[in-house]
Amino acid sequence: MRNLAMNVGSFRARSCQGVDRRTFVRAAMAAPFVGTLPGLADALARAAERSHAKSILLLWLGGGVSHLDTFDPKPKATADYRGPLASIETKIPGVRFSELLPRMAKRSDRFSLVRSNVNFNGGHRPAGSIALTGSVASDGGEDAGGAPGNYPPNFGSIAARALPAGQLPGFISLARGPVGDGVGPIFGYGGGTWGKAHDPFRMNCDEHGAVSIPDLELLEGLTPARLADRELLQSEITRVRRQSERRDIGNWDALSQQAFTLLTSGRSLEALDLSQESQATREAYGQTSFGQSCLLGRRLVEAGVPYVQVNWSQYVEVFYPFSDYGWDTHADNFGLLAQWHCPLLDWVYSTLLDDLQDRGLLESTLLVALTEFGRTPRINSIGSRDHWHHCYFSIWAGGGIQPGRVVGESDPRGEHPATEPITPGMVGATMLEQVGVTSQVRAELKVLEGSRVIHELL
Amino acid sequence: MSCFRRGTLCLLMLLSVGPLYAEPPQQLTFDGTMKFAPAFEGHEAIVYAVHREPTAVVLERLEVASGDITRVHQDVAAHQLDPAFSADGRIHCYSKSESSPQMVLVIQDREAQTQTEFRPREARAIARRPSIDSAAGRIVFHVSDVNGHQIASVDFSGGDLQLLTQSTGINAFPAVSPDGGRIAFSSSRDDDTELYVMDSDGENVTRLTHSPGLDTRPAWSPDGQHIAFTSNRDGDFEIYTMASDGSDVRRFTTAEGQDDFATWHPSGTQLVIVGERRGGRDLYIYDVAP
Repeated sequence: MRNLAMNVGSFRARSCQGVDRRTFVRAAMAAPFVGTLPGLADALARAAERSHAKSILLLWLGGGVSHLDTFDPKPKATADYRGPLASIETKIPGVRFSELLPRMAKRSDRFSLVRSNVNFNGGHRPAGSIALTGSVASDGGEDAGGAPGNYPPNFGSIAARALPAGQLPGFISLARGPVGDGVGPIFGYGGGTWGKAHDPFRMNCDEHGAVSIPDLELLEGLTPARLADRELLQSEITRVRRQSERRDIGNWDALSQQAFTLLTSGRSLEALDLSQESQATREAYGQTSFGQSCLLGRRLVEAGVPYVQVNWSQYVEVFYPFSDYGWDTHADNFGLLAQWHCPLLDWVYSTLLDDLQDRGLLESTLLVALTEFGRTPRINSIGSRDHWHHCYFSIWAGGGIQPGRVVGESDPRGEHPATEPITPGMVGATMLEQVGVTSQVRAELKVLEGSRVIHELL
Repeated sequence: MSCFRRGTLCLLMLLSVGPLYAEPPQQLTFDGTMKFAPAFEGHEAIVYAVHREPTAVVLERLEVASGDITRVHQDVAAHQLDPAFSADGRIHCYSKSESSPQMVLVIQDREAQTQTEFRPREARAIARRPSIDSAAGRIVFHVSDVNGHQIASVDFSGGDLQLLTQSTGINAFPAVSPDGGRIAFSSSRDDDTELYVMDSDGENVTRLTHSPGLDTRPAWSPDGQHIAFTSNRDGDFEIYTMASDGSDVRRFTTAEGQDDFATWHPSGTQLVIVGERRGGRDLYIYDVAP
């Protein structure tokens, strides 16, 4: 048999420091206009002194992760609830995870787990919006004939507005496309009632670590060599801005200036260049878009971005070609979890946690893994699990979170919380509190009012 | 006991439980992209599912000697998974999904140049992991219709559906023995996911493994004497082998990362797996010691 001489296990090289500058120009123009309310300055300054974290890194496990088959197994339940997967011990006495998560089980004393999350809707899009904004839409949202823009702002939009971001956008979302399902994007992905200027700056990071901006066109004829010509760059930005205004996309006067700033800032571009990482580090995150996006997310929080949302964006073995249903495992829950989802999450999360800790970033970074709901505790007629918003989980690490805790408890079948339900509003309030967006600041911004912080995590 | 004698004892113990293969394995693909379920097509080619398109999983054929890779089916409007071939190459079968969660079996008779499908009744049910019983003229697979995941079979026209298991739990990943007489499969009927074997008509079910971990994806050696399978009994997904009666279990791979989807070369002298190494997932071929 011939011994093939090829580049074993390497990642594809990228030109132009890991990101296509032309793509980046146009993308930068979509960045939200970042500003703070005048009355917030004092409150933010006081909060900053007390805050634990500088950034939030959210791993959005869209699609609905089965809680019983991951972080809340029920080994004593009957088989029609328990399922075919075994559970294993963790570092926390009496706490067990699915057998598919051995690496996270070994690190369970370095993060905390909430087992009593609840949502208020069982559909992907409204549940996703509620999970990421903490509230229902004033018009009922996606499945009730609502319109985009009627949700309150996403947690990331709030963080980006309240916190300094430097030259990079304050809220970056990493995904191949809009976060949502086959019907369309979730309405609560961005600025909502605050407007599109507060939407996330969207980037894609593929399995090779190449960064691109999926939703935007390229600047015509603008080669990297010509980027040094600032007059040309400005004229291109102006031209695209005019085109974009016709498409009514956003606040282009502010965005074009930010684009110009980003493009002429080597430091900003460096944050997007995964080739600056060692080969060992890049390999440790694995050759998947989720893995490389987590590495990019770490670089972005390291560069000072207040809020980065890494979206689980894999198309492997979902059932709809050209759509991305993530963890929506209606038809083959156990096969998919065992073959793909859980090993990947187990590996990448563990790598990210280790990396953040090794680099001294864990205290200044709040790492949260969140999904919109769990899956039906009782196995359905086709041997799988459907949507279940009455009880699920979330994972919290760093950023002032006390590790090794399990907050909340579900009932013996995992159907409902046996303790106080943890609402999406409480999730958002806690995330923002840890980066200095205190209850006073939230009140000034009129967001997440009435939602308490999950003090049991702190 | 002297250090020498203790070392000799350890060496003997290692030999008695050690793997069958001769290190190192040979890497067959190098792009690191997600791959699943390789199957030999004759002696010279391997067909596998790969996440080649950003939004689609397709079947590719690797010519082992040359390293040439071609796409098996040009259609990318459907995910293509779980390739299988009859020993004589006449029948090719795979699973596909299009615009719904339902996954159907595609059955191609290359000699007659016909193509048929088996479609489960339930709109979200799946038919996956076909294994071909050439002697009986049937496709054995697992289907999740209205009674959970069961092992079933159809004829080469996709008709005459027969349920071979009707048990609790998840019954999946059937593999027809080379002589067609037996079917190995995984099942959680006894709580944990273990490997079982049954006659081709579903009778005489015998449990083969008794481990605390997940045992799945059995693959018969061409002589029918051994079964390779995937297990996480030691905390990591690795390939194991055992005699076809469940005895003589040996760990076959030892690398950190997920090793999965063992398939035998028709000669019985090599095993191909999908191995996770250095962040990528590629095909590796191991020589199997006689």
